[in-house]
Amino acid sequence: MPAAELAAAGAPRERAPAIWIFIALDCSSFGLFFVVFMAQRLGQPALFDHSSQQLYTALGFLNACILITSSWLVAWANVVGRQGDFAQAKKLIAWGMAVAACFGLVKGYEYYEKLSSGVTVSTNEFFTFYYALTGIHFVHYLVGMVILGVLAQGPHPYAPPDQAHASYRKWLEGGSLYWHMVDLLWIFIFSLLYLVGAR
Amino acid sequence: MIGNDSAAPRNAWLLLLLISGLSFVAAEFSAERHIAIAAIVGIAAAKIVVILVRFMDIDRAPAGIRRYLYGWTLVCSAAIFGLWWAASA
Repeated sequence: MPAAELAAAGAPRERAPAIWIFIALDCSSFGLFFVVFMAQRLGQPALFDHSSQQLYTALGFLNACILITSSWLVAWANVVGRQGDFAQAKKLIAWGMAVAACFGLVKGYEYYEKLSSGVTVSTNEFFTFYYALTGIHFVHYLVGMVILGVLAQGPHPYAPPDQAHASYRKWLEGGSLYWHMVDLLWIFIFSLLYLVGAR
Repeated sequence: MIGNDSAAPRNAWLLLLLISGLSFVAAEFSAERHIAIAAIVGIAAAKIVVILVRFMDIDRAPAGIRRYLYGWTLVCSAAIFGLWWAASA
């Protein structure tokens, strides 16, 4: 029986996987944040642009390239994982993590440089948004690194292989979706904070 | 060795790096600010769509989620550009 007929007959609809619902909700929260940032900028564009020019655009760009590269490696791991090559998937996830670790180093340097030159969360409204947006994103990044760390261990070694492989495929799919969301959110954050007010 | 299935994410990765570079150049070197901002926001939206399609395989997601995420990208981009335009007027 076609899905539409089943739904009409009162059969339960297929539910969206939880990870997609989480991604949609998380993106919505960030989207709201982006709109509030731009709305606040309306009243004081010169202050926002001047503050933005104190950021290192090249470092933001470098971090964008790092996350894109890490995302690619994780997407590749997902492709080989679907084909059952878990050894290769583990390697690619580990490489993805190694590349992504550079994002943390660059972001850490940026925070250190800003804080040591006296630019804090209370400096002005732009930097309140800067620390809030990049800080919340950084928490997402750290959670993603933990997920990648778990995925880099491969399928459960003590569970029956069929069960372990099916479970690993599922977690690899979900974990990689989460990691791509971290990358996706950085694209808007980078554009808003570093590029819109640049020069 | 990179098989056919792996080539799609690789090509998307190269495209994303390339258009990220264009966005950076537009922000740093474009003389006309309106064009630069339109390029920055347009490129950000394009990058997100590439990630959704090529990395996240959004075609496998339920239709409602698919429509929602495309809509989210469009609304965020339009809001960012619209509010920037309003501030510059």
